[in-house]
Amino acid sequence: MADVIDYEIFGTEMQYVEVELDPGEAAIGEAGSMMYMQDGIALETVFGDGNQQGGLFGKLLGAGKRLLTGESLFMTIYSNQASGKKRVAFAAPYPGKIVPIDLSTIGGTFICQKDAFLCAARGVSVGIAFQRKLGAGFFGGEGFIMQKLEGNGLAFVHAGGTLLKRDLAPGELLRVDTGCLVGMQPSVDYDIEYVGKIKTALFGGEGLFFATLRGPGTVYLQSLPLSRLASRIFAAAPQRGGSREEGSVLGGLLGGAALGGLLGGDDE
Amino acid sequence: MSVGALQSTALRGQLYGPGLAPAGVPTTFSASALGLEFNGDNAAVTAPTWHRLAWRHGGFNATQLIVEWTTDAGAYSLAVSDAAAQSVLLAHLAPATQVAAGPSRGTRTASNAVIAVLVVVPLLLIGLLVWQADRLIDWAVAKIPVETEITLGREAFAQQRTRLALEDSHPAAAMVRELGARLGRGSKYPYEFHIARDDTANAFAMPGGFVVIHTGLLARADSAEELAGVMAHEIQHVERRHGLRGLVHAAGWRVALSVILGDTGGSLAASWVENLGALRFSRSQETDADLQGVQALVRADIDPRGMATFFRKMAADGSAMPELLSSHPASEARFAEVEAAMPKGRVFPRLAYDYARLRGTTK
Ligand SMILES: [Zn+2]
Repeated sequence: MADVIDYEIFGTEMQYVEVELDPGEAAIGEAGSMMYMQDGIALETVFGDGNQQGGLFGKLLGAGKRLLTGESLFMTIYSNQASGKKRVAFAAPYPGKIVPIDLSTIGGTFICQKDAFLCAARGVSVGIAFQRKLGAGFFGGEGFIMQKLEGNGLAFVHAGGTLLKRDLAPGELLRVDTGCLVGMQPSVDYDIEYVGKIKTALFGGEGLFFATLRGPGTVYLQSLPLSRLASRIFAAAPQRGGSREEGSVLGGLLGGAALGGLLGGDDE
Repeated sequence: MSVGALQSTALRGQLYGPGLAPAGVPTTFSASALGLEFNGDNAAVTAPTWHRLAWRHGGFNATQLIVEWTTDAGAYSLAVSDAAAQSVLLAHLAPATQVAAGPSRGTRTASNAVIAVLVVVPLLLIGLLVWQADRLIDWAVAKIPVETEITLGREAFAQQRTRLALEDSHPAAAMVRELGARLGRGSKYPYEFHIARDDTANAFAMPGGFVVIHTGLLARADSAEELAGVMAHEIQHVERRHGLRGLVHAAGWRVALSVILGDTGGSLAASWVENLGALRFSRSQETDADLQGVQALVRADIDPRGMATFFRKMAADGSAMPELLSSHPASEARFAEVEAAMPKGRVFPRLAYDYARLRGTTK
């Protein structure tokens, strides 16, 4: 069983979550997301989420997976070793909303984008879920690697901009901009659908690929994906560099540099 | 929850339906010949017999077994992720009631085709480029018209020219032009031969037929045959389109396409014309220019041994004259190939130039 923690979310657009730990309870957080903690909370950095079993090999496997997802190799466990209740807070990395998800009520598993996880009660396992559908992997905005939160405790994920929680009835279909998906219950069909002409797909195009989400299940959407925010900021910045349009893989590939690099390199 | 929910025979899943939480509720259930039976809080939920239950492999990565049915109250879904529970259900579910996963079939297929094309085509293209780069470059180079090449070369040479101290009234200028005309006879390129004041022993050729001989090279050569050997080599770089090939090689597919489309005046072209002057050739191109150069000398009735002796001399000199050899990489194997290509037993008339006088006073 995961620890049963109490929490409170503060702020409106730049939020942080304060977790209250009873004596002996603990929370796990992505290294670098902690905002403050009260005296009496001991901090231990572990490989993976601290739940790996099977000795060294299991730990290495977990570490390898985390390397693959591009996450930090370590998770930090914040455990209350004092005799009274203590608090530790985790802050969202960019404007948006912190979403508490009670894994015990949604069936024990939540699939989310790989940088969505913020913190959780000890006992929640943070793993990866490989997206096996080619289309979703290439055009899903988040690649092939997603995060899988498992357990029966509370987990907190972060969404950019404004959050929309949508409950899909059995068979109900929702088309979503690929970057706007935060996460979903595993019962939701997630795939990518192309809408439009092939010519437009080849020569640039946001919104040509949609994530199709089919119920039953709950999905969480964000109004402002970090990638979109970043690309606008990047475009507005004075210097130019290798930015990549959302949703256009071919554009990126044909962006001279890649192919020039392949063809270049004289054998002199 | 009732005690029944904790029995070891109970299977677990997430139940969605009317009156239940929108995110569904975790539930336990049992599966028997009689059908699905829910425990605890959901004991009131009923499901029809097995052959009337629609089911599919769905959810994220199709990891879930999803069973669907409708009662008077509304539509229900049961999502089961546990593998053991799935196999218990599959033993009961009728194959006939399996439904296809995902949205409507028609749009799905078309959409999948587009996605597959978009994924596969760039990958194939890259694979092809890596695997068959040489052939693709040959193909692209062959598509570039000679006129385009000459235009490019002229532009590049015009840029280069400002950095060169051309001496077109040099005493050797007439000889250089005459030798060039002999070696380039019948060519589709309108050659221009120039002498530039530069003490480095070098020579270079740009696409389209712009050949420049440094005064340092004139000084280093000891006969018109040696000079002709270097010129024959440079001319073959032009004839064999080595510069163009190197350009396509370096600039990549995108540029090649713009050239094929005739976009030589575009800004794209302008930016890489500058690079023409800095082109380097590959070893195989050097050997090619050597061997073809030997044949051109023979055709022009000029003794090709001049080329061999000059290259040998340059290499033996080491640090003194590294320029020609650094832009035209040398090796023992290369010299050996040149020497092996010399025609046996043929006598060539000596070139009738007073070379020592014409080459000027440069040390
Ligand atoms: Zn050369």
